[in-house]
Amino acid sequence: MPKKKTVKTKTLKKKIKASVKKTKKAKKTVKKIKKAVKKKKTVKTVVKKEKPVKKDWEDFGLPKLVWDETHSFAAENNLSDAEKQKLLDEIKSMYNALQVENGEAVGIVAAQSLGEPGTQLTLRTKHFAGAAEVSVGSGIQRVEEIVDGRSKARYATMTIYLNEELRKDEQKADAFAKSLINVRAQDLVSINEDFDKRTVSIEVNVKKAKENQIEAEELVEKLKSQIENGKTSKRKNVLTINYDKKHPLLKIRKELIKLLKKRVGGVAGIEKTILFHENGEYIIKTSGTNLKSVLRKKEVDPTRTITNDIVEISKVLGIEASRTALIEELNKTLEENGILVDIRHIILLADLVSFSGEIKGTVRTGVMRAKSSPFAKAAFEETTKHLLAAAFKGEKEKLQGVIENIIVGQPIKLGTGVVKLIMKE
Amino acid sequence: MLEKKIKELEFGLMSPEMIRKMSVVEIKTPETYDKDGYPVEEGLMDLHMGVISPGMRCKTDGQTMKNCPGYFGHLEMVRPIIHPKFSINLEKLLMSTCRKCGKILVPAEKIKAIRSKPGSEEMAKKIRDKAKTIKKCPHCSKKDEKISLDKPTNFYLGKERIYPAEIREWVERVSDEDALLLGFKPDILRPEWLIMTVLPVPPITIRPSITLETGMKSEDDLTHKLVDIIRINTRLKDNIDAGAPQLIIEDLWDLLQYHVTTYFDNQTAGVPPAKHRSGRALRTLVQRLKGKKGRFRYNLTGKRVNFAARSTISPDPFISINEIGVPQRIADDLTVPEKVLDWNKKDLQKLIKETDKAVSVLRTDQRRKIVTEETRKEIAKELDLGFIVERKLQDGDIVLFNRQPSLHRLSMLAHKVRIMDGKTFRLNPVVCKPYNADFDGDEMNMHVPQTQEGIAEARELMYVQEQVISPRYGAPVIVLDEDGITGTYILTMDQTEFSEKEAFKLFYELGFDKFPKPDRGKNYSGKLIFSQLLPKDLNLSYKSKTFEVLEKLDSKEKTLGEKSKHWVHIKNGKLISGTIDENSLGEISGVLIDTLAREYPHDVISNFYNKLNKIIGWVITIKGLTVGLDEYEINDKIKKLREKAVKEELDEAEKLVKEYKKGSLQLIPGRTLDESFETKMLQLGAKVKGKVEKELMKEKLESVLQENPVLNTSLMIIAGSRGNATNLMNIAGFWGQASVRAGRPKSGFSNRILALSQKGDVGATAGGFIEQSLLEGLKGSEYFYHSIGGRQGEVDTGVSTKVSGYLYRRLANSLKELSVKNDATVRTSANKIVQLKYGEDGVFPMKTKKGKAIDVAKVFKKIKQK
Repeated sequence: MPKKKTVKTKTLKKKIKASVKKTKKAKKTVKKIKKAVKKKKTVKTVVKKEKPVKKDWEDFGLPKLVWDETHSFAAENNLSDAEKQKLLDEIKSMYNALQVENGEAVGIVAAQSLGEPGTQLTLRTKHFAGAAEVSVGSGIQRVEEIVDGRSKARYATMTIYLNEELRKDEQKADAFAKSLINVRAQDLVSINEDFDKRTVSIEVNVKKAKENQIEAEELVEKLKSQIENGKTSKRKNVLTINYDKKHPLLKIRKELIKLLKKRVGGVAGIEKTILFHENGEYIIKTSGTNLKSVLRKKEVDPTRTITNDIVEISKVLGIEASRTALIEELNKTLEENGILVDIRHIILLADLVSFSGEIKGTVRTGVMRAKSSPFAKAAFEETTKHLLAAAFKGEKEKLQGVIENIIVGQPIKLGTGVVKLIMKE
Repeated sequence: MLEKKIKELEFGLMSPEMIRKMSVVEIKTPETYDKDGYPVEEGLMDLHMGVISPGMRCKTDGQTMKNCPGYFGHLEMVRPIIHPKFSINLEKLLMSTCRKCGKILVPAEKIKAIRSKPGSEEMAKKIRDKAKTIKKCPHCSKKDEKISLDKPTNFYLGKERIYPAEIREWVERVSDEDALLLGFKPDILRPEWLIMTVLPVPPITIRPSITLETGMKSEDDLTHKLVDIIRINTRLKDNIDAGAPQLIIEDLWDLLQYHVTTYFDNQTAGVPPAKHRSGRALRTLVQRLKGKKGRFRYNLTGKRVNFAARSTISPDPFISINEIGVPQRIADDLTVPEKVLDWNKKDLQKLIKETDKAVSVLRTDQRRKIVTEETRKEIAKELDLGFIVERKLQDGDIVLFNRQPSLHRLSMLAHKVRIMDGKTFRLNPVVCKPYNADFDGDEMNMHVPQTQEGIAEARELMYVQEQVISPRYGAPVIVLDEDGITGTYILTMDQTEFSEKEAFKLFYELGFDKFPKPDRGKNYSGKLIFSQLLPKDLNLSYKSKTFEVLEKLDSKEKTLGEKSKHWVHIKNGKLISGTIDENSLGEISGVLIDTLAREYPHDVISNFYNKLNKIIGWVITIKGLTVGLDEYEINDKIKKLREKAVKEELDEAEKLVKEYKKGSLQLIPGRTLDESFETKMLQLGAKVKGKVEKELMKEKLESVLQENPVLNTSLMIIAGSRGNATNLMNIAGFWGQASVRAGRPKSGFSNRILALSQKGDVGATAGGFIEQSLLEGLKGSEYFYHSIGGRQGEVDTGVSTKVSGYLYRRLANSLKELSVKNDATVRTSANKIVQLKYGEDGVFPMKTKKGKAIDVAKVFKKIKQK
């Protein structure tokens, strides 16, 4: 009994050490990334420091986009200052007239705008009896994926931009692309087990190894260092392991399997990579994603490289980045399916999903759980669970929201409900 | 009237004392009614708990059925019973306390070291984790086995069963301070309350018995369950009193626990559901609340209303877009309250005296008088200011009209009532789009607002013409479709002319009393007639759909740009050139509608629609719109092209198959070899089809644009009112690749789809490529391929309506509470800021043009004109 325990604690200690190393490494990379980001940021902060005063457009009360557009229009058409001022004044008065009204139920409008075409899309496919050109089914699933804030995208993919050196060089880019693929030992070796003599010989396939940018002998060394029990001998690209006669066969097999599952090259999680030529440069698209490790590589351009996994982005680059990514992904998916939805609705959704500091999907474990009202939660899903929890904790229902007031039969505080109208008798 | 307002609700558990205090009667017998059908005293139907039969009076408040709300009774339980829904919370408490002294197993100084808020779940969990490792109580040195819960209600100490009575004694020893540390709030919930000694018996009003036609009384499921509980409770008591062996008592105790468990939740995991005599599972407390048909979603968030009507809809282009044709019978059933005031007193008196439109009068002393033939004159005479007259619905009243599913806010719009003959609701076909309605049997609902506030809001915010621009994308949604666009297209084609007689028919429909001069000799051009509908100061210039099609086909017209005769020019309300088609009238793309709805008062757009609707039908009737098989017959040139295309498809496919079998196919990112091959085969099919389709479209376009075109379905495609090039191609060209779920059909026999092809054949023909057109008819095998695709379409609609319905529900529930506050921020109902400025520029999408808030060039133009 005590023997086993010591073994266990040993392995545990090793694990702990390894994990400590890992976290250290991770911290370093995070620092690196932060530095990379900071480089960009410092420029911005400097600008901010220089102008603690409001910017022109803020001062004037127009959004930057409109302000810039007006100025470039004025420049193009050689407007005089007076004309420009007149134009700006007119635009401002028009812009003010376009503002949302107080109490407007923008949330529900956004939900409807995103939800209504979902069913329309479905109904539309019907009329074409499934001809190849107009099938659109997969769109809904992707929208669901994005909106739910699921951590694993079904078709996770990265778009990797390369640094200046590699972006024009096809060969180097291709080699880099191949080196990213996650390779396990089992992909490169052939095994010969002799149970009678209790020897296992592992032969590394040199050709295959080279394809994956791995030196065969190095790999053998690497594998050798991993083996704990048994004597090892190395001959060129063959590794032979001699086990003790007492060593149980089952254990040998288990250790071997563990060894073969070891990652020997590439980046974890990246299953495939393909090189593309786009806009005069080479880019890599992958299947599978690992943003953190890829950004660490010096061959990539970290400012543009991106994954389609929103939760991963929030973990690696932070919530602002993932908010932007969510907006872009959702907008792209809807556009691909030919659905026109105003960007403001998508922004609102993205803001709601991310304003707490982490991505919370529109599911019972996300945005809904964060609500404080027991009624709102009970009316959505898991009715009894929420009521019981409310009773146990002695929660209070403050009747601030929409459903809560509908439940008790009172007017809701949205839209025309925010103002009170008293009629003269 | 006193206005009651609920400000706050508090949740919590009831203490046994509270249950007893609240109770009006202690239930002692499981009987319900005696032989005469009279409720047994101290039985489950005791009259203290409320009345459910007319004529009886409640023994608690003396009220009748209508006015008595019902009162709780209570049942004293012989042995304590664990509350099945809180047993997990109980387990957590037991895990961290000592059985003997009731103190927390973790020493006080260690608890002090934990940095969490007392009473928080976090704190409780940390203590629990620590307690797990402690084997001996630090306070009384009691060593004990670990407690475990066999869900839902059986507790074990080690392997020994521990009964609720003992647990209750145990938790009673836990002090208030310790309970607080363990996540209980002792002021609202003492741990021992989770082990019940008294059970509240709900009022009869929530579990009424039903008298069947046979005179038999049928009890509610809850009553059934309560009968079971009381019966076992009594038997347990008798057994204890008689000094029965421990084993029997424990068995009965467990049985009582079972009944209580199922009384709370009849779907508790690990407990067989209690059944009715017929074998149906009982619907007990939790089932009443849960799910789509439960109290919350069915009755509380979805409420039934009065003053509503439902009927089949049918179209009527001759009523205004904001009108609704209401059948007389419906109008006579629905009422509107109207307050008697100075200015309407005389009218209302007349209404009561001379017509049968008034139903009743509510006097200021709250007495209601029904207007009948006899009382009519008298009521009209005594009518005074402040009285409220309930009158039947009449022309001009504002009502809300709705079609389900109500997916967006345009699914409910306000209309003006117009009472008509017949039994269906009539609506202008223009409003079909927002409602997503057609007339194949659709039914719609009508609601009559009952207050001035409601009527005003409906009229100002929900009127049809107020909602022409969609809040989803900032472009028109309330638009003409199908015949509406086709008709306007025919009307505004260059060669369209009307004889004086025909033209005057149209002018008559439009209600003109002044007529324009004929512009083509004695005849009127269609463009001239159309121009009569436009405001006189309208100036527009944009691409027509025809021009866009020409552009796509690389015609010479493209180079002409604005000078092309297919470019729409409207000058001072006159249509100079171009044909009015989808790009003028259509959803999203309709420039003309967009301009009319935005830049003119709202009645301009409704007037335009009303007038146009009145003449379109006549235009199509006069000019004709036809369909015939001959229009899908193709000429030799296209026939040859088609043959070539099919051959190309087959050849290329063969090449791909070879590459695929060799494994040398270039992969698509993220796809395997098989997937890439399938995708490429699919793309090939689409490519080849596209080529022929383009030629076919060219041919059809030419036929429409010639001097005297036949007005047929190709015209509809060009105008953009219905159908597209693909439809045409499928009928006249060839179908192409059949697809199932965005791929080629796969399943069927092993390694082949149909028995007609060889095993393992992945080529075009074996993979579902259809060479024939629908006009020629498909080959046998092709018919099967086509049907596979068709079936998948049906299945997919079913599946994804469900998927998107759920997606929508989740989105709506999550976003529901967000609204713009008066400081322009977007906040949740808990007042948390989500956006500092809505949409980052504070502009509501409905007020934008497809998302663009301001068109600088246009503003400049406007200034210059001033």
